[in-house]
Order: sequence, then structure tokens, then C-alpha cells
Amino acid sequence: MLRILGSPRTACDGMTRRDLLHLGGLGLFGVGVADLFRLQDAQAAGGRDSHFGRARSCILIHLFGAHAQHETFDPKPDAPAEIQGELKAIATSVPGVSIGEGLPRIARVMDRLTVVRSLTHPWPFHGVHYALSGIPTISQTVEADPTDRSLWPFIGSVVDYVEAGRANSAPAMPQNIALPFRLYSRANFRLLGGPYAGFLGSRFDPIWTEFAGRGTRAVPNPTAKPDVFDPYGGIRAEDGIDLTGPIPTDLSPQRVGLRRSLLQQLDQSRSWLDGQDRVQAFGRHQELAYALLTSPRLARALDIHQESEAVRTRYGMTLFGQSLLAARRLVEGGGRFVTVFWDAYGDATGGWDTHYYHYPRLKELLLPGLDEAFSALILDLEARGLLDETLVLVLSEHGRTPRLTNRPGGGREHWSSAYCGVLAGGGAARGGIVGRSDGSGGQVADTPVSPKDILATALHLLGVDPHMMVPDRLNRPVPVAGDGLVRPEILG
Amino acid sequence: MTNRLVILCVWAVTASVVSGQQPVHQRIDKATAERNGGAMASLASDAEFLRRVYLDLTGIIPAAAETRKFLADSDPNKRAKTIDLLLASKDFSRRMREVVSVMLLERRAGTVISDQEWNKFVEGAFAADMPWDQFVRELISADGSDARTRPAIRFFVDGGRSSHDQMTQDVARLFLGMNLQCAQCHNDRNIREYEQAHYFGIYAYLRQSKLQTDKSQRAFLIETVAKDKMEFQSVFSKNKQFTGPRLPDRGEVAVPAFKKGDECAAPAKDGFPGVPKFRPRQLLARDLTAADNRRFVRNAVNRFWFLMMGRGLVHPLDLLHVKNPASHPDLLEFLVDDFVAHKFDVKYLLRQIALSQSYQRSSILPGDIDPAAVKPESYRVANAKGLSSEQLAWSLMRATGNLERIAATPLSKKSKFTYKDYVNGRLPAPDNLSDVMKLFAAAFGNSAGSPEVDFTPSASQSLFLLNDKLLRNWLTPRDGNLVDRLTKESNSDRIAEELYLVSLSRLPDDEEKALVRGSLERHKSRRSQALGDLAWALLTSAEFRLNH
Repeated sequence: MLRILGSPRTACDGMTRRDLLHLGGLGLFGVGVADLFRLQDAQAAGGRDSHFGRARSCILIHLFGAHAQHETFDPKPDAPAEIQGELKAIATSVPGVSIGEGLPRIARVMDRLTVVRSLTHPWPFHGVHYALSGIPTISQTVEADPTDRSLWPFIGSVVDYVEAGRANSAPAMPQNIALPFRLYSRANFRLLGGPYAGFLGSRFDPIWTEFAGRGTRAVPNPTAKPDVFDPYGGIRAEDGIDLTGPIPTDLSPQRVGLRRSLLQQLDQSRSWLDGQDRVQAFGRHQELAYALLTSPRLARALDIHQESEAVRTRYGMTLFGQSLLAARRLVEGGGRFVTVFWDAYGDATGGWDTHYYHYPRLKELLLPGLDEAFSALILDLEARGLLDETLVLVLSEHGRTPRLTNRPGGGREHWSSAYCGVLAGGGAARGGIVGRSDGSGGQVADTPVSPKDILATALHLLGVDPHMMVPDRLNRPVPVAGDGLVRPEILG
Repeated sequence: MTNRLVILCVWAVTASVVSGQQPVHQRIDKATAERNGGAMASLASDAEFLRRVYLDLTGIIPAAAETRKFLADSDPNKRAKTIDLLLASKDFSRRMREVVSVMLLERRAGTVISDQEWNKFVEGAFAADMPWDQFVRELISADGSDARTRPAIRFFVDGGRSSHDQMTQDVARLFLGMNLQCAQCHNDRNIREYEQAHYFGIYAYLRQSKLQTDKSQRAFLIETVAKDKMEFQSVFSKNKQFTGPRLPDRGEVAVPAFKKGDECAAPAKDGFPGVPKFRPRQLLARDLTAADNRRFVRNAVNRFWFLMMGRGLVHPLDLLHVKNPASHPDLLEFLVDDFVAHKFDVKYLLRQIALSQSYQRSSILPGDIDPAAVKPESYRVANAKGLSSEQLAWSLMRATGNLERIAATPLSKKSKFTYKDYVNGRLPAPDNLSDVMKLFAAAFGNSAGSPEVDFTPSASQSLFLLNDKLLRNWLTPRDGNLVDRLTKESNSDRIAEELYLVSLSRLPDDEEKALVRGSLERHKSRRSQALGDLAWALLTSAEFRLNH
């Protein structure tokens, strides 16, 4: 194997997954991560299909709580009423393909999207970590701990890690940023795990933004309280999404530079602390703080107030709409992996977790917000020539039950045997439907796709080998996308 | 090194002779040694130990003079003496008040009980060595009518716990280490042990509690008459279930049937309903804190252990259950028994942990061990802990030599300090203790309602230290503060010593002295600024930001 590493050019063509596994095993004897990257790059140069690396950046949209497939991208107009529900299907810009009637604007951009209707896995309980990392199995304990460093890394953290291995210096823009605030931090409950770097170490956790404003519109909510002002239902135009308060500028760049170099020297003499994860995370954020002071690129990219009122209105004056707008500005400014959560607000079963008041919430809050913002994002990326190089994903933990319940306001429960997700841009197919669910939307009828396949395909499009091994805490090689495979059906 | 070993042996021998059996701190060390899975770090240096124990027990770094004195002290027993000194200090009760408030209130603000009243109550409890079970009993049972315990109603009535669901979940999570989020609607499908009946058993203790104000708008947490059992239903089933007040693994409390008109011990008065004979929240206070309620004791021990060691024996702290066992199960059970035997004495428990070598281990691993492969629950090396917003505020004030001045500045009655007004430039930098603490809590604490367990550094926190006018003011020479003192000193080695002692609580090595000398020589023309920059660099380093 060392011979192979010594001359990667000659080896790459014949490199198989088994070889990679073998090499990963060698990690135990000191083959470093840098070698893995080298190998991976060599392999990329050798025998990749033309989709590899097509996407320069990725916007991952996660609808926390899990959207119902029936009312979004997999309607069942021929099913009985207790399955189909109140909402009908409408035709889209792709002949023969229909989606839920609550998404008319998305229907018009359907020819730019690929909908996967046959996602399936065995864990119907809000496994954000399961949905967004390569981890093969999960439990609720695991999902509940954002700090557990033995967990597998979130896909955004994988991309960040690979970038850090390739780049010689810290990037001016964070490569893994998540909006609008830490997942589940507004849900009156403990934080949830999921979008964290796991064993890669907290320095590869996403950089979270903050949202200090509040909602302007009372929205239907799980407890039917009259006065729940969810910002996903509407925010004030003057509210923004930011990293901190305004960045003061009365410290000269020279003085900042001087202090930075002093700090580096001081820290160097104390390098013994570096091994600790908490120290590394601290150092990385401090570097970013310096980058912000000396080059306000990130702050500028996040400043949605620089956009015209027309553009802002097109995305919708909601927290979700303005977060997607900020995400577009971030990828434009050089961000590589941007995640936007439609998060639970107030109640633990908020967001898309429609156990209660399913239809009022879908009709008045969820569907219009998604329809407006997501269609605006696709058209905006396209108009700016960014769609081909930006992969957009719409994912969730799972789907919802085919049969409606008679809970207050009606509801659908958790369901993971069949559900749907969306991909667009960045080398994904256009106007395609992948897979098929059965007549009730409850089982996969054709072409099952695992959420790990979506991750593998996304990494592939982003130019990261999904079968790449990274060492976990015990230095065991672990493939970044688990057992996921690149799915040619999804590629354009 | 040899010297150090001799000292340690003497110390260990003395300790065991005194107690006649193996002291608890040695049992801790035996337990961690049995499961460490590899070589351990050596014991912390005196400087490392002193900084850590000050931060953990008093929430502030030692003053330079205290560090000098400790380093020069040749008493072999000086570590144990310092631990006792700190536990007996006033700063200890302040530190515990900060810790317990963040843990129990999770930075939720309230309007019924003021910060001052609450702080006085909690600090008073720790100053009087109130046993933990009694403290929790008062939090649960207080109804506001007794002047001494009135502030305790803050736990339930302030901080967004107005709904019985929130009260139930927080009692389970904070006092039993059980996160019953899922069990509100159905048996937890992944944690078999967490049943919906547990959730509603606790709920049944709390559902008679109700906030009521008197004519002068004073709020009380009264209880109304309980008529029957709590009815509940799983979302997965049509069967109705019933439970009286019941704690997990414990018997159900019977809801007594009174004749109509005979339910109350005291009649209705002044707009308040009658006081019921059966008051389940009072029974919760009794049953929850019972010495044989192991879940309660385990949770308490685990949380205090976490405070000192940076990692719970069971982790996450609110998922205590069979499938998530303790890293050192025997040790946890031993400490539980010991805590009960010592009547829930928090000071005693913290003292035993602080005396252990497991606590006093260095945060530096021997060079040939890859730190990434060392699990935090192995305690092979001291786990670095992030400074809480309070620890950071106190320590920065002390290090920059501004603590006395700020502590002596009275809080203006008119002060309406808010973080948002401050960062948006509408307010000057705060100069009194209360507003400084508010500012740091907003800049470094988590948002209201989310537990502060792990260190979550962020770029905005770094920016705050890097650039905020508050710290810049503190580093401007005035009234004998650090930079003012240093500008009057000409010897660069003495400057380096002072800088390192006040900020990092240790002496600089030769390389670091040279660095200070070089920097001062290069910036001769702007000396006080250069001194400020040096202090600033030390105060924003990882070594300062962490308790290691």
C-alpha cells in the first residue's frame, strides 16, 4: 500500500473500494488523513464520471419535524379520502407529474427539480443525525446529544473537513454554516443532536447564525394557543440573521493584526493544550472572529438588507424565506455548505411535525412558506447562473403516515417506510421523478433509495468521495456516507 | 519530581490514617484507574491545580498574590488546606448560587421573584450548608406564604414553567435525570424505561398547583382540591389509563376521597380558595427527595461530579437509564450511598472529588499518546471545561485589576441595562457588577431555556473579547488597574511574571519572558498600548478561556 501512496498516478485506475478499506486499515499504523486526501484526489483525476465535483456549493434545506409526502411531493389523488386528505394534486411544468396543490409556485419550477418518492429507512423518530450523517443505526439517546463526539459527522462537517485538508490556509468564509439558529434551540426543550461534527471534533461543527427578532403573525400551532408568534410565519423587514451584534470598526486593522500575531505566538508556546477538542473548537472560532474583523465578507453575505425589497419579498418575509435568501448570498460569497433549518418554534412538536392541526398548519403556515421561498430560491439561483453549480437539497428525518388521525385538527404520525425528498441544481437531474410509492404512499413500490444514498450522491456531486474513510475516535476507518451509494438515477 | 512523589505519599498516608478506612477520594481513584484504558496524565502542577480548584469552587481565578503564596508554600498538605479554605469562603456560596441558578433556571428571567431575592435565598442555603435534599424540598414545596422560603417559588413560577407539562418535564429532567419529552404522548419507544405513566405520575403531583395573586398582586403557588386520579391516553392506543401521584419505581400515592365540604383544612379566605387537606406537591417534595429514591440521588451526584470533572459519570446528564449506563457504575453507586450517609452534604461531596487524584490530574497527556483517542469519560487526563459566563466575567475583572472598582460601584436605580441596547450602541459599557454580569450572560450564556452543559464556543463570543469596548476599557490604564501598574514597572521580566500570574495563574517560562521582552522593545514608543495588547492576548488565549 505504501508503494501505491508513493505513486498514486499509476494506482488510481485500479483502485477499488476494497483497496480503500484496506488503506483505511493502515490508518492504524500511521497513514495520515492527508494521504487519504491525496489518494482521493488522484482517484478523482483517474476514473470519475463527469458529475463528480459538479457542484461548487450546497444549500441543504431540512424541514424539521418531517413533512407529509401526501401534501407535498407525492400526492395520492386516487386514494380514499382518509389517505389522500383535504388537499388535491396539481399538474406541474413536467408533463405527467403532479404535486400537492399547496405548492403552485414549486409546480411551475418542477422542470428544474428531481423528486425522490421512494426514500425509505427503518427509524421513524426524528433522526436528524440518521438523516444527515453516515451512521448506520441510531437510538434516541444518540439523537439527543449534540456533544457526543463518538457520533458520525454531519455531511456539512464532512465537506468542511475535506476542505480544511485541502486548503493551505483558513478560508475567509466558513465552509459549514447553519441558519437561522442552533437546531431546536427555540423549542422550549433540550437541544437535539444531528448537525454536528461528531468524531471529527467540534471544530468542524457548523457555525450557527442567530436570529434576534420575533414572529409577527399568530400561526396555527400544536396546542391551538391563539397567540403563538412563530417567526416562520412572518418577521419584520428590519430583523436580520447575523452572527453577533454589529461588528465595531474602531479598532484599526493593524492593531487587530498585531494582536492576532501576539496571540499566535503565545498560543504556540502552549501547544500542549491543542489535543483537547474544546481547545481546537475555540481556536477555530477565534480564527473566524479575526477573519470577520479583517475581512467582513461573511457579515456582508449575511446582510440580507442589502437586497432590494422586491427580491426580499419574493422569498417571503418569513424566517425561512429570509434564511434561504441569506443562504443564496452565502454561496455567492464563497460558502461551500449552507444548511437552513425550518425548525420547531415554541412547542416541541412544532415545525413540520404535524401530529395536531395538520391541515391548518399546512395551509396557513407550512406550504405557503415553503412554496414561496423555495421556488424563489431556484429561480434566483438560475437567473444568477448559479443553479448549475449549486446543489439544493430538501430533506427531512422521515415522512408521515398514509392514514389521517382524528386528533384535534387532524394529524399524520411519523412514518419512514416511504417518504420523499427533492434535489435541484449542481449536476442533479432536472424534471425527474426517482422511484415510486404504492397507492397509499405507505410503501416503496419501485427503486428504494436510502437517505445515505442521497448523502453519497450529494458528496459525489460536491467532489468528495462518499466512500472516503475518515478515522473515528478510536482510529477505525469509517466511510463518510456510511453504506450509501451514488445513485445514477439522480444525476443529470 | 521525586520531591513531589514523596509529598504525595506522605499526604496519602496521613489521610488514610485519619479516617481509618480507605478515604472516598482514594476509592474514586481506584475506580477510575481500573477503567482508564491506557496511561494517565501525571498530577497537575501546583499552578494548574490552584487555578482549577479556584475556578471550580469559587468561580474565579486566584489573585496573583494568592498564587505566589501557594507556589512558595512548602507544606505537603497545602492542596487539601486550600480546598478547605475555598469551601469555607464566601465565594463558595456565591459560586454555588451561580451554578445552581444556571442549572435550575436555565437563564430564564422572571418577574415574580427578583434576582436579588432569589440570589439571597440560594446563597444563604449554601452558606448555611443546607443539605441538597432539603434545598430541593423547599424549591418544590414553597408556596410563597413563608417569608424565608418565598424566593424558592421562582423555580416553578418564573422561568416559563407556568404549564404543568413544563413543570413535569423539568422536575423529571433536573431532579431525576430523566428526559421524559417523548413520554408525554406515549411510552418512549427507544428508552423502554421511560413510560408515559412516569410522566403522568409526576404530573399528578403537580396538577393541583396554581398561581394566584392577592389584592396587592403578590403571587402565590397554591394548590386546589384534587378529586380523582390523572387520566391519560397514549397516542398509539384508545385505552384510557389512570394514575395517582407516583414517582418512577415508587408506589402510587392514593388520592383520598373526602366528603363534599370536608376537603379543606382551612377555609377560603381573602379571595383564596380553601387549603386542601391533600396537597400532592407537598408530597412530591417529600417523595422525590427521599434518601432511598436512588434516581434522585444519582442525578444529584452525577451533576456535581460533572461540575468538577467536565463529564458526567452518566452522560448526557438527563438520560439516566439502564441502556445508557454510567462509565463507572460501581463508583456512581458508591458515591450515591456515601452522599446519603453524609446527609446530602454538597460541600462534602465536592471536597472528596477535589481531593482525588482523578480531579487533580494534569490536562497534559504524556507526549506519545494521541489525545484524540482519549475518551473524556476515561478521566485519564483532566477534561478542559469552558469557563461559564460568570467565571469569565469574575476572572476578567480580577485579572485586569478592575474587580474592586466595579464591585464598589453601586447599581443605579435607573439602570435598564439590556444586552441588545448595549451591542447596538445605545448604552455605554456597564460599570457595576450587576450589569456586567448581565452583559456576560447574554454574550456567553446559552439562550433562555436551554441547558448549559457543554462548552459551545462561537465566533461572536470571540469577537466580543476581541473587540468589545468593555474589555478595551478594562485594559486602559486607570486607578491602579493592571495596565496602570505595569506601566510603572520597568523590568520586563517582572512585567512578564505579573502578566502571567494575573491572567494564567502561573509563571512564564524563559521563552515567554523573551516574547514579552521582545514585544515591549519593538513597541517602545507606545508602551501602555503594548502592555494592553500583551494582557489582551493572554486573556483571549485558549489557556485563559478554559478551565484546564
